[in-house]
Amino acid sequence: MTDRSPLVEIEDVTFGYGREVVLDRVSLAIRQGDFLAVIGPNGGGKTTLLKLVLGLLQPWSGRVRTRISGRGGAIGYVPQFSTFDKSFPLQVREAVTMGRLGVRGPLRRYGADDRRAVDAVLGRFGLRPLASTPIGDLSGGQLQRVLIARALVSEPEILFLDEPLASIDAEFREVLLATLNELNERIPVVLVTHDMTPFAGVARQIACVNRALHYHPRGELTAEMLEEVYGCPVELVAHGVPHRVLRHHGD
Amino acid sequence: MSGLVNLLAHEFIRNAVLAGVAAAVLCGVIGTFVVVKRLVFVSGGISHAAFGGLGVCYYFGFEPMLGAAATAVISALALGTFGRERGRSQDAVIGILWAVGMAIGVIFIYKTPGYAPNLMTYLFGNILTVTRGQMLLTWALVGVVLVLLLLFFKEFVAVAFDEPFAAVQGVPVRSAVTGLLVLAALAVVFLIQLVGIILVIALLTIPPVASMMLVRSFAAVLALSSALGAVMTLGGLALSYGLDVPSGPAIVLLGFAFLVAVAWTRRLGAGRQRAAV
Repeated sequence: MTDRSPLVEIEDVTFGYGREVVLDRVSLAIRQGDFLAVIGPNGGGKTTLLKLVLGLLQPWSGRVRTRISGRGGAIGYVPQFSTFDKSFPLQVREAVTMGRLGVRGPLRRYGADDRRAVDAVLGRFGLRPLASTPIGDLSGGQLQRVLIARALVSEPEILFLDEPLASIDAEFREVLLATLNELNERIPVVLVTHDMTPFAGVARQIACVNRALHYHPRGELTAEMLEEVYGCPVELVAHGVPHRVLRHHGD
Repeated sequence: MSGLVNLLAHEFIRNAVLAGVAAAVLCGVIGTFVVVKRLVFVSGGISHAAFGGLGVCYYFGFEPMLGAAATAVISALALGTFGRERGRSQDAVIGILWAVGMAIGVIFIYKTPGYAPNLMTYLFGNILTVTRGQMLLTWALVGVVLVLLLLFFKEFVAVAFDEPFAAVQGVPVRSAVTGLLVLAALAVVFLIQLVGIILVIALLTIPPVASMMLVRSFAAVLALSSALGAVMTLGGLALSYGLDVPSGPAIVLLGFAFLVAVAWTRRLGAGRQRAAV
């Protein structure tokens, strides 16, 4: 946690779809120990930013550099929940085992260590009784739990989550927040959310994305900075202890 | 029954039965991926485009199936490489490929001098005309598909279920999807012989869809689809013989009847479960 050189560094990145610019010269650094919430309006480029960091998209210009080790499964990724086909014939255990894909590598079958890792993570998330349930029969919260278990089964060095609280019930919300908080003692956690409220107590850094990116490191949220972060039309009220309220960025 | 067994003494019946089983494994495996990855329309486009290549080869006196295979693979590679960027227009591109392929095929076959080939055979298939060579070739493709599946099972499943996640795990997603399309194209060409271009989609879709209603793990769907495919092709063959109807439609309608039966019993089962609760 003493190493403060960036694990992921985005420099002056511009990206868009077709002719439309979605992210305009954004820069961001993610460091060891960070708990970064990426917030902003729908269509503001949050998920696009995440995909650039993950290497799923290539920037038009600028650079994305990572110091994450090249080991398979070093990156934990929980994609947006709504994009899943619930009719896909897959049991909970099969879905979670998919998270060992990068660890195992090509041309090798899953082995005993993979099964042990899957068992452990199923137990940790209370999914053991559901191990042979088809994913189509799960509730939204249960499926989200499966996706998070899948991301953690490779023991990643950094965890990315895209809208992790979508379709989550209040009960699992607390479990999830506690889990993320605990994970953050070891690895950086980056999550994309349109609703900052539930993360007010746990997020240490905030990146506000709406074509441009404004970064708020903890404790440095001064009036001057708020003056600076112009043009980010996001209403942001964070309830939590301690209360941290970001003022409306002046339009 | 003994009448059916005696039939196996005929070489063309043996070829038909063996080709039917090979086709069943092909549809079970490839069809499952085609269905879950929503490549049904793409496969339809490829099979109809293949008809263009078939007609051209017929006209110039080459082996028509070779033309069909080449056209199908080229279409699959083109769709896999270029089609994905513009998600919305790919749909229309497939539609155009579909119609143009058919048009080219019909014109070339029409213009072929001498004996006019039976278009119906290509459109609706005739499993009884499968030669020993074609049957062995189909088994060779089954072998290739099964080896690829054994080697890359976990990667193919991950790509089918969640492309971005698979990519983050280091799977070459683009190549895997294009590979699936090429295999689907080859399977389509081989299945044309059995059920024809128009009905081939039924053989790729009915077994996996029925299986997905019955079992819910991916490996189980693959296995059951292959078994159901065999019931379809062999049962359809028997029906075709017994009722004196063309084999292609017999295979498809037997499969459909089975699908309806499965859906109906599941509905009844679900209703009973609700009543019990």
